[in-house]
Amino acid sequence: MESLDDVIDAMIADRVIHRHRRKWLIALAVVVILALVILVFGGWKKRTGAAVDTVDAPYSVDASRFEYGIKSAKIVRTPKSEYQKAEAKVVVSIDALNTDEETHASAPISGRDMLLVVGDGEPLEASIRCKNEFGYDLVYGLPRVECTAEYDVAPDYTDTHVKIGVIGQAYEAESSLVSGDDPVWLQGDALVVVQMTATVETEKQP
Amino acid sequence: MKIYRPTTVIVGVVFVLLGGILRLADPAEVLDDSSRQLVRGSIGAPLTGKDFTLTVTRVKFAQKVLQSESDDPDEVLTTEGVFVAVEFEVAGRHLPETIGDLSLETDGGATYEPFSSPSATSATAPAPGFTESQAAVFEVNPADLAGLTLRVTPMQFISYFTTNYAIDLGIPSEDVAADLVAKASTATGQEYLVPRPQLRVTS
Repeated sequence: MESLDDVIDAMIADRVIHRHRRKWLIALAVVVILALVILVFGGWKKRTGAAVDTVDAPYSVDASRFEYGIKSAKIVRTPKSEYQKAEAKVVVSIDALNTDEETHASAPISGRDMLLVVGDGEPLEASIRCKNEFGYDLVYGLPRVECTAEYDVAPDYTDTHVKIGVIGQAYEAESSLVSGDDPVWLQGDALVVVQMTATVETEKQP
Repeated sequence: MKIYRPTTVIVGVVFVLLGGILRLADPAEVLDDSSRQLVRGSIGAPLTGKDFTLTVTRVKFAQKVLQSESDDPDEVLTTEGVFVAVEFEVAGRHLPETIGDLSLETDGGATYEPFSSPSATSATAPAPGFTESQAAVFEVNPADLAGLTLRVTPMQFISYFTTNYAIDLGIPSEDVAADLVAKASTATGQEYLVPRPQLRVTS
């Protein structure tokens, strides 16, 4: 049951809206025009360029779960042969140490933590080998291990100025269905970009 | 109608507190992980699961691991620490299945993962009536070995309650471990040849 008060309130509101209708319409039009202008000019400018420091190799990075010493890079070319097409890869030498104070667990280095920064486009993920084995589990408490990070690049890749972006790991709870509320190692922030000059090698086809 | 009467508010607060108390009473003390059951066993003693019987038959420490009988130096695994090889047998009693992923745990809190190429990374149960012997090789830190335990962790599906297995490998203290590590560095016990998985009829 509507009371008289409500009816009077509604009437007053109606009047107020009518009295300021033109102002409302102008405000609405301004918002729409602003949105169109921003849309036409391609939105707000996205931040570009490296957000982390760039340093020269050899450089040692503390990525919390691991410690990486990034040493040198080379570009290995495999020329075209009768049965195989030409290939090239960037090989970066690293030594790695498991510094996982939280869980003391053996773990492999993820290729997503060691990215090759290429001129334009997405950085490339590494395929990492330690002691010449893929997916080698670094043991906590044992000395540094020699590793390589390999990136498959186009056969005509010539950029000898190699830049490796290192991404850290963070021990935190993500509260998901898989891990529950307990903290786990997750990919953290970008730490540093290590730059070096690569040597070029040509490998004979077997 | 008044919604926020003092009684209503107090009842709400009491429910929130009750929830907190129930969360504190979570049976974390009883179970290793409240969503999984933990079954303990020890080396040499058969551990009976739903569809299989698992027995750890031998634990061997070594400095080098040979992946096959060839003398190719590229196929020898070496370490700055020490290798632990765990040999086990699984007798099947029902459908062949994967029991779970293997790992080692110590009292010090370390977790070690097995090598994938020459060794088993998971325990599998063969068909009923058969027993399969398998071996898993782990690279470990010789300073953290007390209370070495083999863990078998099944993949958890949301639909059912899984069982974890923890098998004590009989290394109660660091002194015992140090002895075994020292023995592994003497000439005779230095190398370990990973045995091939063998399937035989359960006797």
